[in-house]
Amino acid sequence: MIENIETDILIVGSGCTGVIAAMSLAGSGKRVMLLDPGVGPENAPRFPEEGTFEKIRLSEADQLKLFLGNNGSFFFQESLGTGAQFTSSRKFISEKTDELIPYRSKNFSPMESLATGGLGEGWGLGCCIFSDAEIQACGIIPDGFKEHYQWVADRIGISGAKDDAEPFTASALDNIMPAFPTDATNSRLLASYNLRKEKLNRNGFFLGRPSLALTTEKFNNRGPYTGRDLDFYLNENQSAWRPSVEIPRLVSEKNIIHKRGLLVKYFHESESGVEVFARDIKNNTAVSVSCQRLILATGPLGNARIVAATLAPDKEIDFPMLCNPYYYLSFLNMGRLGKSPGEVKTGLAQLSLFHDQSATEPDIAMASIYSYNSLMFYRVVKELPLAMKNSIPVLRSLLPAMSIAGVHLPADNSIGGTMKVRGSLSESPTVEYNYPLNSLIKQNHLLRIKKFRKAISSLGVWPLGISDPGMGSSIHYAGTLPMGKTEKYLGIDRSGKLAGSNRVFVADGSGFNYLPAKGITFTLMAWARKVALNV
Amino acid sequence: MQEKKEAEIFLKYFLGSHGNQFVSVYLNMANPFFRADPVSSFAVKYPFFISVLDAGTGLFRKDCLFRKKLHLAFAISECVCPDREKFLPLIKPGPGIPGIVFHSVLSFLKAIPGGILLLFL
Repeated sequence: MIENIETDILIVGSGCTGVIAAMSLAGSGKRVMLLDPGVGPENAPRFPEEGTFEKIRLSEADQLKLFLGNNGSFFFQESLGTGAQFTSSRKFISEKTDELIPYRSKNFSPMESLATGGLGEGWGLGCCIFSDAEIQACGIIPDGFKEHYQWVADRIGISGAKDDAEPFTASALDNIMPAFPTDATNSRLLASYNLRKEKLNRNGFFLGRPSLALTTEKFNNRGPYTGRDLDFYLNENQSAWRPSVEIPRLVSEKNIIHKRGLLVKYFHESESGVEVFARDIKNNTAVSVSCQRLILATGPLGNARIVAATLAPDKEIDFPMLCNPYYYLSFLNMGRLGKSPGEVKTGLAQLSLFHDQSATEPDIAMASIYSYNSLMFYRVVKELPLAMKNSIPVLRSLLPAMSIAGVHLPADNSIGGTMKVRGSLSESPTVEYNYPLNSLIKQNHLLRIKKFRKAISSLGVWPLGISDPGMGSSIHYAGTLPMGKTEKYLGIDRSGKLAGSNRVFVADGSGFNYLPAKGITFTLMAWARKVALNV
Repeated sequence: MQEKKEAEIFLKYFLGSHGNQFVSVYLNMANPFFRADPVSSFAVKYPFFISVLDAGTGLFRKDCLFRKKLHLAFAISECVCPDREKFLPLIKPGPGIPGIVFHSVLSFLKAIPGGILLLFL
């Protein structure tokens, strides 16, 4: 027995793009449904409403549950290499993926989410603006695209600064709130940059405050960010914009229906509409949703699975795939060794360093610079070449003096990353990723990373090391359904419509032919807005 | 039995006698993931050497199972130890350059016998 649901517009995926599409369609007079597998934070440890990270560390009784998760399950999950931003409170973001969307790969470790809000629940909040050349390289027509950036900015609330990073960030838009102050370590870096910036600018490096989807003033129903240094555990005052901030408002005020618990398998399009077939992940029953228009917003990897099962069940399809290479650089600010971290503490990105090596090409690389805050020592102690017991006083001195740069490099199709999918109408699809990096490409990556190391070192800090968390760790994926000027099988057109379809649209990065290194999420949201207007 | 002894010794290494009350926590967490390994077995038999093995594996065998087990005990200790301020630089600032040098040299000195021991394990 199949349960059947009806709606006018169905949006599959409730991450940043799905929610922006829903916001764009709210008030259109159509019945809009947002659908997701619905894994949620219900079992996540609850953090106290008051107090800073230090206060909670000192006063709360059940630290094991708060920081290692129920039964310590989180400790082992994070040991597998997920990002620093995924803590016990955010474990739900990647829950059940091993079981429900398994994959094979020797050289690629993607991260996907079956949670309400998707990967947006762990988003670093960085909002960058792509240049016209970058937008064009993605496949989008740049004319008028800036209006979509502004529309999104006006609704999510962005803070930033007018400085050297402004041309690359959303700070260039209107209605931007002031940035949250930097901590002592990063303030020194910024001051040092201001003294030496002429030379750095000549070499294509520009440092400034990032623009973040973070309210530093009262904004609609949200309060200002207070910097309790609990960024990885809770969202105080809902100051960070995440899908989970918006969905309840969409449901209560905009009549959007939010249906949780369904994993979409495939769809069938006819002249009268689209029928979407899903599985209830709790009781494994089949559910179908009939709609007039379907918007796919499950992410490039999820969309490829759905499209493969729909268009060529039981056949193997090789989808192209893009992913930003990602590296970590760590630095020591000797003047801060052994000093107190100071009262300003935040785990969010504090500085952004852009490298524009050729002003005419869309090949900008970007580093987000963080301090090691609101995280436990055990997460880094295993990296030191010391006895763990001796590491405690060493880390207490080192961490307040440390800056960590997460460097993203741009990605195009030259690498030849692929996602091989054998779709199925009845079973889970089999998926195999291949992202081969030959030694020449790897060498080019390292050359660019070393330029970043040299530029940051010139600000008076000591480089500690380069670490390569492996392909897939950037959590930026694109290009599985490439966008073209004309309709191409297994692709989308410039309005976001799936090739060969009249009613199915793709609102995420699946269509992007190029993946700039600048944070992609804000552009994806602007794209989702543009697609929603075409539906 | 071996796992229980491991838990007792590893937790005692970080927490002293306070560690005894968290043995079941360690066992619950470690149970699905850990198995016996020669370095841990040696440390259980001769707990006196755990400190040099900690330093030796830190320098020479970062990915060995013994270090992973010790890492779990460290994580538990960080959550439950009575003097938590030693993990909080804002409350208790670090010892500065002389302290870093002292603890690093101490660790390297311990890593020498630790490394030699590891050759036989």
